[in-house]
Amino acid sequence: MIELERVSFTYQPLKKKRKASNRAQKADWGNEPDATWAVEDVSLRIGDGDFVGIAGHTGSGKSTLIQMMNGLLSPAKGRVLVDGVDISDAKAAAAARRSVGLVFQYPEHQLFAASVYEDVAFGPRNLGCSEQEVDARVRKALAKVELDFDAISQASPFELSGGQQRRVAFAGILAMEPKTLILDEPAAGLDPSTHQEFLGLIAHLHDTLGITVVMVSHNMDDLAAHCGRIVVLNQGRVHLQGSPEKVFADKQALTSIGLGLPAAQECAQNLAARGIVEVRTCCEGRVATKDALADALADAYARRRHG
Amino acid sequence: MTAPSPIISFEDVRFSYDGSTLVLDDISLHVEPGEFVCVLGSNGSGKSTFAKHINALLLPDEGSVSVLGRSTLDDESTYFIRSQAGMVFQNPDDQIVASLIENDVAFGPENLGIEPAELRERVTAALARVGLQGFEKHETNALSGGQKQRVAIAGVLAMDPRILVLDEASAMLDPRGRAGLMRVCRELHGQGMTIVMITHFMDEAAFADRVFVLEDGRVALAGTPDDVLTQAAKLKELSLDVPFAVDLSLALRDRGVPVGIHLDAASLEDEVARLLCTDAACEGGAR
Repeated sequence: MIELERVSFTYQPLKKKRKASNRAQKADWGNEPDATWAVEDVSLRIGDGDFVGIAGHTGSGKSTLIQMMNGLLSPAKGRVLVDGVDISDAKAAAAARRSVGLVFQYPEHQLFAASVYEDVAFGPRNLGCSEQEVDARVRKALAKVELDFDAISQASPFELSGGQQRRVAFAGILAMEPKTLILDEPAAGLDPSTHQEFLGLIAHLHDTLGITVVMVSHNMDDLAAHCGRIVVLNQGRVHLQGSPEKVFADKQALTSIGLGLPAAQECAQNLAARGIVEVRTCCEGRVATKDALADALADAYARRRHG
Repeated sequence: MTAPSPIISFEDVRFSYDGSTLVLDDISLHVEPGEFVCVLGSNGSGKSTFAKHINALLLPDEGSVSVLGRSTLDDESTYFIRSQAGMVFQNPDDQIVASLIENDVAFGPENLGIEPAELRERVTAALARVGLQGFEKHETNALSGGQKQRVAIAGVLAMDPRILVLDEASAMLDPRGRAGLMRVCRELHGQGMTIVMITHFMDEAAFADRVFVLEDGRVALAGTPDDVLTQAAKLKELSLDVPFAVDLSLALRDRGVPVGIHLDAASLEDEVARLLCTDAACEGGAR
């Protein structure tokens, strides 16, 4: 479980006092009257087994927020608890990084080793695992991302396709066996079929292994399809939060900050506004899908013809 | 009067990186001056390789590519072709060379030997065309991805090309950045620029005059967006997305609702609204 309690963060004082240690600055940050807050007064609780989506524009504070979830950044105000332990303490932060795996955007850009095996083994080795344990973890992690160990483990990661490279990068995080996986735009830059493959893989890890997932995405259709809860950030604050049904019922609140609805939901709401009341059966109380919307419209059409 | 000759033409082009696997396999196509052409295809379909043939970054193994009537195989023409066909690539961070915007935009034309006074004019004009007027003295590192791509386009425009080639230039941008880039491209197209856009976003392809879909280095589909983007089954087979409105149109037709196949949601909504006749009189069944 990850709890953020009224956390705020600013990048400005950090720049000015880069040489001082993080610890010493910590007290000062909150006293910065002119600071521009990248994240301001955000409280969130992510429960074990949740699938939480984070939406918001570039600059809305998404990346800053997720980096606070595993102690890569420390909040200037407020605190972060991972499994009930405040991670402002260096030891606790190290433990948090073990249990909360963070997959950055374009993680394949961080591949570095001469072979896929060595790349995936890097994390567990750093955790101090025995070579036997490392080997077991590498095999398991590659299986989880559906790569064939025998075919690929000795290949150079740079010879692989983009989609495979991203799977390897992903396996590197999974080999640390985190309880929570935080993914920043996991499908960015992939072509449509690889995009769907990847989201399927993440959903599978969540469903079968019970991994807690926090997924940052611009894609409302992806968020609607997979998340149990969506947090919408704007200018460093929580703008909207709730189930996809709740968040996507409020079109005005999303369009006012330049975000949109999933395509089917948008279409259903437009048709409802034009008086086609039947679409309510597909889009009230849940997020419309293409098929549900088509069913509702086909019903309406049949009724008008025969009734 | 003779018919206008194509500004870009590919004749039976074959190309391979390793001497055996054909990445472009017998591509023939023509782009007319002022056209906005979109090239779609999944990863590995050859679309970026295609793009790099337009300004002689790659040369065909067989067949020929000509730009403004000059073959890319002719060494003497390489500079001319590159000055006329500007390219913008995927990663915004890879394309910015200077720390001030004006220096970055001036980099290309300066290398062409343009005089300082004209250079300044060109930089100002190019920034205005991408919606960044007055940004001359800004630092490039403080820009968003979308702004960086527009600076990259301005750098190309300052060289006064006839053709703009965008190789997945929007792939790394957020929705707002993508929309801004698309708006700039449509405006440039309105001003007569020939645009070749490589993408896998269907909503971008919907704005093109013509769409080509590549598969394994061959042209699998070609035609207007209406012709190509409505071929749902074929697009899915090619691992491409189908625009939402097309998908919904087909789902409705499957269920016996007689709608046309629409490319954009607004026109589909109009037809559905007409069909379901929602005014008060109709509501009661008085047709």
